[in-house]
Amino acid sequence: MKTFSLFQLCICSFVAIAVLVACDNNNETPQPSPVTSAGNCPLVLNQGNFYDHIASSIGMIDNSSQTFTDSLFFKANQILPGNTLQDGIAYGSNLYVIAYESNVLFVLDRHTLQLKRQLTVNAPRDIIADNGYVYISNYDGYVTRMDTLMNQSVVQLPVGPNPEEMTIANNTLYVTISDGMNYANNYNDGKQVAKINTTSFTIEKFIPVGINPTRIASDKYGNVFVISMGDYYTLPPMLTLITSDDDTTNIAPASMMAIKEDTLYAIYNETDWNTYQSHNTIFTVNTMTLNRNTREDMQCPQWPLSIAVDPKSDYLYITADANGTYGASYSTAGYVYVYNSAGILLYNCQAGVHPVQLVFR
Amino acid sequence: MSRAKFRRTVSCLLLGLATGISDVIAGNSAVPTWERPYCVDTIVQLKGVSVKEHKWDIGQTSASYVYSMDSTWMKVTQSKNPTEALSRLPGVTVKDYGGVGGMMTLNVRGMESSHVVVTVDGIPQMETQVGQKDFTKYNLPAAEKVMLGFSATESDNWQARNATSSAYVNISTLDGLRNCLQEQRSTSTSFSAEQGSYDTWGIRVKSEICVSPVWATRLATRYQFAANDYPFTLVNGNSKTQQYRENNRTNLFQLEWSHLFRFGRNDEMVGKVCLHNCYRRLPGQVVLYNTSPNNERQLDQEYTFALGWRKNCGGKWETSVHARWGLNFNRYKDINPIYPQGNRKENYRQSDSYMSGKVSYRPSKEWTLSWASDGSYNTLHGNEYTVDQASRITLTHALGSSYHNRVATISGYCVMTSCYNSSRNGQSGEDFHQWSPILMGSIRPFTYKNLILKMYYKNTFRPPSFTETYYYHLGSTNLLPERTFQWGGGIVWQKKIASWWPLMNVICDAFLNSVHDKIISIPVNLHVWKTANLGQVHTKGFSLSLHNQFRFQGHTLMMTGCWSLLKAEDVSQKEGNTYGFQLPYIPVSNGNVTLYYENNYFHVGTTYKGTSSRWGTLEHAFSTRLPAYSEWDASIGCPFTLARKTGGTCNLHVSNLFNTQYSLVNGYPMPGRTYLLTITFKL
Repeated sequence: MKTFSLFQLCICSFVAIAVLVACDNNNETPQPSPVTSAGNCPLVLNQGNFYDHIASSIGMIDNSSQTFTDSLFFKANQILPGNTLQDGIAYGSNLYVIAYESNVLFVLDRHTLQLKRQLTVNAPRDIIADNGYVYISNYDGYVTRMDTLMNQSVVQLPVGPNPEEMTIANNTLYVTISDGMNYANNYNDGKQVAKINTTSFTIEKFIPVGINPTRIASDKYGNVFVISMGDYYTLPPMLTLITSDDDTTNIAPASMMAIKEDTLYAIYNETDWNTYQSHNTIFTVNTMTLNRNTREDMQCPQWPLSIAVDPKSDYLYITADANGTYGASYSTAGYVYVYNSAGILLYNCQAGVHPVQLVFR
Repeated sequence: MSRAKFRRTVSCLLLGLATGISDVIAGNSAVPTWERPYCVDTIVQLKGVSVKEHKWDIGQTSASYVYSMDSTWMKVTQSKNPTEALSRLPGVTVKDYGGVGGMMTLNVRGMESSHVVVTVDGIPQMETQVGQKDFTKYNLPAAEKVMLGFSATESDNWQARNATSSAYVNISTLDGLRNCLQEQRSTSTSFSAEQGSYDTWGIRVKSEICVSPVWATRLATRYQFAANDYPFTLVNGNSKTQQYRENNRTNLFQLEWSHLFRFGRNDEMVGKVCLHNCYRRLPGQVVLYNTSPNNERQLDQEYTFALGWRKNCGGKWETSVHARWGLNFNRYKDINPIYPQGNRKENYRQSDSYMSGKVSYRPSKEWTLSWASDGSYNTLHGNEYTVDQASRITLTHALGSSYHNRVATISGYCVMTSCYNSSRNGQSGEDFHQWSPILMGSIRPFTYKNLILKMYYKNTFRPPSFTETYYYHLGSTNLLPERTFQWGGGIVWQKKIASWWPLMNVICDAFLNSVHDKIISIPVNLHVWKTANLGQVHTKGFSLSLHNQFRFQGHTLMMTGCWSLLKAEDVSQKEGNTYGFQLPYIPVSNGNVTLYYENNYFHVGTTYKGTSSRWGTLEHAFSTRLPAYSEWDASIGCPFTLARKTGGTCNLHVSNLFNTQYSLVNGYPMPGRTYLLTITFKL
C-alpha cells in the first residue's frame, strides 16, 4: 500500500513537471490600435534594430497635439515595413521609402501610406527625387535612377564603393563615396564626392574630400556641404563646403546637419578617448558667410541620431535614442525633440526604436 | 568457511566492486568505494571483473555535483548526441540557430558557455578567441559519456584549470578502450549509417583493436551532411507565408585515433590524435522581403594531439601528467558586393599548448591531499590587424584536501591563476592574478539510507577573450576577468522500492550565483562600442529531477523528468532601466519528461520538453519576446542479429512530433517535424 502511494506520488510529480513545463502567463501579442489617417504631419522613420530582430516602423509627429503615433505603415497595410528603414522622400502623390537590409523600395500613398508598389533594390542607402526621377544610392556601388511615372528602374550608374547620401544642386546630383566597408585600409577608395549630370546621368567628376564622407546637403544657392565622418575614432568628423568651382573648404567638426534657407544646423558629437565620455554641441553656420555660431542655449539630447528642418514651417527636429543603462539604448523607443525657429525646445515625445530620419510631406 | 557464506561474501564483494568500478568510470570518486554501505566479511583476491549488467548512471548519486550521462541514458532521453543530452539536464538552456550541425551554445544555470570549461577525458579544450563555445564541435564520434559538473575537483582526472570554471562538461572517450583491454577483445567494429529529413546523411565507423595485452587502439570517424533547407512560417504583421531556410548546409567530418597502454593495474598511458573539420553555410537571420539568400560561410578546422600518463603507486600516491597541443583554423567569408573585392574575410589561427601535472597522496583512507599545476600558451593570429599576434600564458596551481568518512565528506581547494598577455600590435591586455577558493561538503545523516545533503561555495573567474580584448574598435585592453561567486546546496535520495521498482532517484538543488565585473559592450558614441567590466548578474534557482525505473519479467519502464526555475537578473545599476530584468534568452522555467520502455525485442520512448517565454533583449523590447513552446520527441528501435555474433540496432527518431513552430534565437526559426533513421552494425 505504501509502495502504491509512493507510485501515485511519482506519477503526480511527473504530471506536475509536465504542467509546469507547459505553463506560461501570456503568449498573445497585442495588436496596435487602428488610426484613421496619416495626414500631412512629418513622418518619423524608426529603423528598429536588425541584430535584435526589431523590425522598423513609420510614425507620425503631430505638433498641434504634441503627440507621436507609431506603426502607421502596419496600420495601413497590415504588414511591416521591413528591416532597417533607411530614408524616405515625399514626391508627387507618393511617398518613397527604402529599407536597407530588406533590399526593398516601398511606393506608398503620400497621405494614407497605403502600399502601391513594392520593388527590389540592392542595399538602398539614400533616396532623393528631382525632375520626375527618384535616385537611390546602392551600397554595393551604384546609383539607381527610377522614372516615377513608370515606377520602374531605368538605369544604374556605377559610382564607387559604398555610396551614402545624395543631394541635388545646380541640376547636378552629388553623391558621397565613403568606401565605408574598407575601414581596414583607411577608407582608401572613398574620400570623394561624385558629381553626376542629371540629364545624361553620367559622372562629370570626382571631388576629393575628407575620409569617409557620408552626409551631404545643399542650400538654395547651390552651395553643397559634406560631412566626412573620419575613422569614428581619433580622426574627428569634418564639415566641408564644396564651392561652385568644386574647391573644398573645411568649416568645423560636425556629425550631422540640416539646411534651411541660408542656415545650416549641425550637431558635433565629440568623444574623449581617454575617459570615453561623449559631448554634443549644436551650432549654426551661415551658408553664405560661413560664420559659425555655437548654440549653447539649445538643449541637445544625449544620443542624437539626426537633425531636420521642416521646409514648410519653422520647426526644427532632433531625433535621438533613449538613455540605456550604459549609454544609448538601441532596443527601446527613442525620442523626437521639437524646437521652434529660435531654437527653444517646445516639447519632446517618445518615438519608435532608433528614429533615424524625418520625412516631410 | 561454508559454501553459502562464501557465496554471500563473493556476491557482496562483486556488488561493491561493480559499484566502485562504475563510480570510478563515472568520475564519482569523491566517496571512496570502501565507504559504500555494502557488507564485506572476507576479502577474496580476484583476477579481474567484467561488469555485464548496466548500472543506470542517471544523475547525482554521491556527494559530488556531477550529472553523468552515458550512451544508455542518451537513448532513454532520445538524445541524438552529447549536446542534446546536456540540454535535458535541469538549469541548462540551449541557444540553437536551427538545423542539423548548426551552431549551438549552452547556458548553464544562467551562466554563459564562456564560463563553462569543456574537457575531453579531463583535458580542457581551449577557446580563447571568442569565449563562447559551439557545442556541436563536441559531438565526438567516440563520445561514450558526458558529464556536467559544478565542481571540477571531484572527477578523478581533474586538472587545475577545470577548478577555476563555474561549471565543466567532460566528454569521456576511453572507457571502451579500457574495456577492450580488460576483456582482451581482439577486434570490435561498429558501423552506423543515418538518414534524416532535409537531406541529412551520415556515416559513423568505430573500430577498437586489442593489439596486445597492454595496448588497445581505436579509430573512430564520422561524416555528416545536412542541407537543412527546412520550411518555416514567416510572420509579417498579419500575414503568414511559408518560406524555406536557404544557405544552411553543413558538412562535418571528425576523426579520432586513440591509443591506450596499460602497464600493470595502476599504470596507464593515453595518446590521441583528433581532427575536426566543419564547413557551414550560414543562413543568417530571417529578413523581411529580402529574397537574396545570405552568402556567409564558415570553415572550422581543428587538429589536436594529446598525451597522458597516470600512475597509482601502491594506493597512497597517484600521479598524472597530461600534454595537449591544438591548432585551430577558423575562416569566415561573406560574399557581398558591398565589401571591397566583393567579399569580407575573417581568418583566424589559434594555437594552444597545454601541460598539466597532478600528485595525490592518501595518508589514510579518510584523507586525500592533492597538488595540481598546469600551464598553457595560447596564440591568435588573424587577418584583422588588431587581433593579430596576440598571445597569453596562463599558469594555474591548485592545492586541495578532502576528508571522507561514512557520514561526511568535506573538501577544500585553493587555486591560484596567473595570466600574462602580450600583443605585437599595440597595447597588450592586462595581466592578472586570481585566487579561487572552493569549499564543498556533504552529509549522509542516515548511513543505512541513501540520503545525502550537500552544499558548496566557489569563487571562480572567466578571463576576457581575445575578441573582447583586441577586436577592432570594440576591444579594450584594460579588461579584467569576470568573477563568479557560487553557493549551492541540495538533496540526493535514492532507494530501491520493490523488486519491480528497483530505482527511485530524487535530486533537488538550489543555487545562487553572482557574476561581478561582467564584460559587456557599451556604446561610446554614435558609431563605436567598447567592452568594459560594468555588468553584474545575480542568479538564483531551483531544480528538481526525478528518475524511476520499473522492471518486470524482461520489461523495463523508465520515467524521468526534470524541471528548473531560474531567475537570472541584471543588477548592474540600481537606477538603470534594466535593473532586475531577466537576462536575454534565459527562461524562468524549463524542463522535460521522458517515458521509455524496452524489452528484449524493441524499445520505444517519448520526451516532452518545454520552455517558458523569454526575451531577446535585456531591455525586454516587446517585439523581441519569444513565446513559450513545448515539443514532443519520440523514438522506436530494435536490435537485430545477423550470422555469427554480428548484429546491430535500428532506430527511428522523430523530433518535434507535432510540427510546432518556434525559435530559440530571434530570427532563427527551428525546423518542424523531422526524422532520423539510424542503422548500426556491430562486428
